[in-house]
Amino acid sequence: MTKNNRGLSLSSMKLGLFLLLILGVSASLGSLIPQGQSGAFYKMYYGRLLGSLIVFLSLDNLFRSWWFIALGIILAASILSCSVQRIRKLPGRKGWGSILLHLSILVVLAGAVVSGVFGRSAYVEVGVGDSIDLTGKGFPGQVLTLKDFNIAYYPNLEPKQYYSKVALKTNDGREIEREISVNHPLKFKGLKIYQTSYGWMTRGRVIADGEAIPFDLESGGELAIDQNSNLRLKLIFVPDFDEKTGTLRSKSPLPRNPRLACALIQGHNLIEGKILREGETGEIKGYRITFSGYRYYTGLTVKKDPGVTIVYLGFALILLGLAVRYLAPDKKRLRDEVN
Amino acid sequence: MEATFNSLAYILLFITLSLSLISLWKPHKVIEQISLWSTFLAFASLSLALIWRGIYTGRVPFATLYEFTLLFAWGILLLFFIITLRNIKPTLLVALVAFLEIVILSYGGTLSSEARPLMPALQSVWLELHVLTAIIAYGAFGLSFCLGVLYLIKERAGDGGPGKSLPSLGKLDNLLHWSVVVGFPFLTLVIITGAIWAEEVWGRWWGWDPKETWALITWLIYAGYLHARKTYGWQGKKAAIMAIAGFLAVLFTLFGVSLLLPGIHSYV
Ligand code: HEM
Repeated sequence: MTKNNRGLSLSSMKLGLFLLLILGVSASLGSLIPQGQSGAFYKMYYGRLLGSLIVFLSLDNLFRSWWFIALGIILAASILSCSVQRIRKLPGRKGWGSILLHLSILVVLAGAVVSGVFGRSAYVEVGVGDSIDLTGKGFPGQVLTLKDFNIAYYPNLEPKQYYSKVALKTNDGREIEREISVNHPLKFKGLKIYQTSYGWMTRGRVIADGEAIPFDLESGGELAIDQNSNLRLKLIFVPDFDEKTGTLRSKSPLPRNPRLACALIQGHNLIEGKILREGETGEIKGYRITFSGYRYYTGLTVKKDPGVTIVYLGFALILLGLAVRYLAPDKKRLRDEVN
Repeated sequence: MEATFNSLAYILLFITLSLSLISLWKPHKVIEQISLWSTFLAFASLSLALIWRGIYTGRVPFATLYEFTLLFAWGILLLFFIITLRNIKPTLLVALVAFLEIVILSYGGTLSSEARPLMPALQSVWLELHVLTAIIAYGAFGLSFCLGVLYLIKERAGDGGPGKSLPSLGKLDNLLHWSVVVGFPFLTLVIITGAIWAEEVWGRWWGWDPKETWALITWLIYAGYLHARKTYGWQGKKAAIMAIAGFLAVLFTLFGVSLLLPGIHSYV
């Protein structure tokens, strides 16, 4: 390889090394400075001057900033121009490996661009038995139904795996049934659905001023009782209520002794609370609350990203390039180098 | 049992360090042999500790920072033995490796060794491949760090003093290059398997999480090393300094990020 010192031409190694250095330094800044916070946060944390500078240079959103992306584009151009130059010089076998390695880095970067432009992702929550139309989330014509959700535990009650059994009705009228768990997303024609979260929902009703308000809410949710006076009912599900201590901390994650904790709140003030068994009706300040049932909901991430295939292709080619560059018939030379 | 094997490895490494320091001061064939053997026994003992832990927990011991610290120490010793097979075992290298091992294992001793079952996100063959390749990559970089330090020492001391037991500068530089050339493709594999795992578990193959970011920074540093050495003829001192910087980035990826920077990896 001839030394290429023609100032800062795209294919010069000087520029190449400079880019590697600048990208490394920028990325480390991006990892050390908290990302995606508000402008006020940086001013408070780093002082007025430094905080403003961080925001001005987009260091608060570094990996999406125009200059970081521009550096990536220049690196890609540099890699391309180096490789093209080397292809002209009719490289040997190792040289082809090296060129393949460099060009496949471009394939990965191209995949990243496709991911960024065409990738779509949405988070949805579905109660057991419920269906959700994904059209509104950017996946037209697909309807997702949660047939069942359960959790496997280790003997010490740490979670072992979360399972969502779902049915997916696709826009061509087919319906498939699958089980989704962590590390095992549903994959169907480019669509992927991931197990992301879960929680409890409770069902019941409140009779306020002679009027029944039914509820079907996630644990921790609030029900508006009276808009004018900002009166709300906060509902917390306790799967395994501790009779001895009477606190809202569940003894275990299993629904062994389920309770609904209801708290009447006005503004920020707690007015009165009550703990109900399943099927029980209780009264707080004249409001009659019935706790009729509970169930799981699952939190799923729905994703479609054509870039991933390109990225994986790039990965495979990088490995092939490395193998040709370093493994092929080169063992002897390395040994000579060492001795 | 695991703790016993761990302590045994620790003690053996202390013996290695002391003996190799003694033989640096007064070179002696037998003492050198014993110190090499005690390194080997330390390696065997560390292997037994890991196997024991695997049997006890019923899974590969690849999941906690404590486990990875043991594996890291194990990988550096593995690469060290591969290089000694090439008949290169200068006493100063033995001393330096033993010292690095003691530092790493001492740090490991401060971490929680509680054997917890695998959380769902960690149950993936991609994670296992990720850790397996990381052992080799980071082991090779640990070795190249030691060789880089030896290079700087040799350059300063020449053939006298601590430089006496060392091979020539050219040979050290070649060995250093060899260990980076072993580490780099494996680091590439670490990043790729990590990306595939992230795609399977969270649905994004890259997210600029601090641990990912630092693995990439390490990759860029060693790529810089390979290019500078090849096209600028940056062999010798500058290359040695780059290899040392690369390993500092490795240490930061493994330990600094877990301690200082929040992220989804913070449980590892
Ligand atoms: C992320 C970026 C890059 C990576 C990971 C990378 C990786 C590599 C590797 C592993 C080698 C083999 C080194 C050896 O011989 O031991 C290499 C060689 C080389 N690279 Fe890069 N490279 C990158 C960017 C670039 C850029 C930007 C240029 C052009 C300015 C370039 C030009 C070259 C040249 C001319 C060689 C020598 C030919 C050879 O030995 O294969 N590389 N690169």
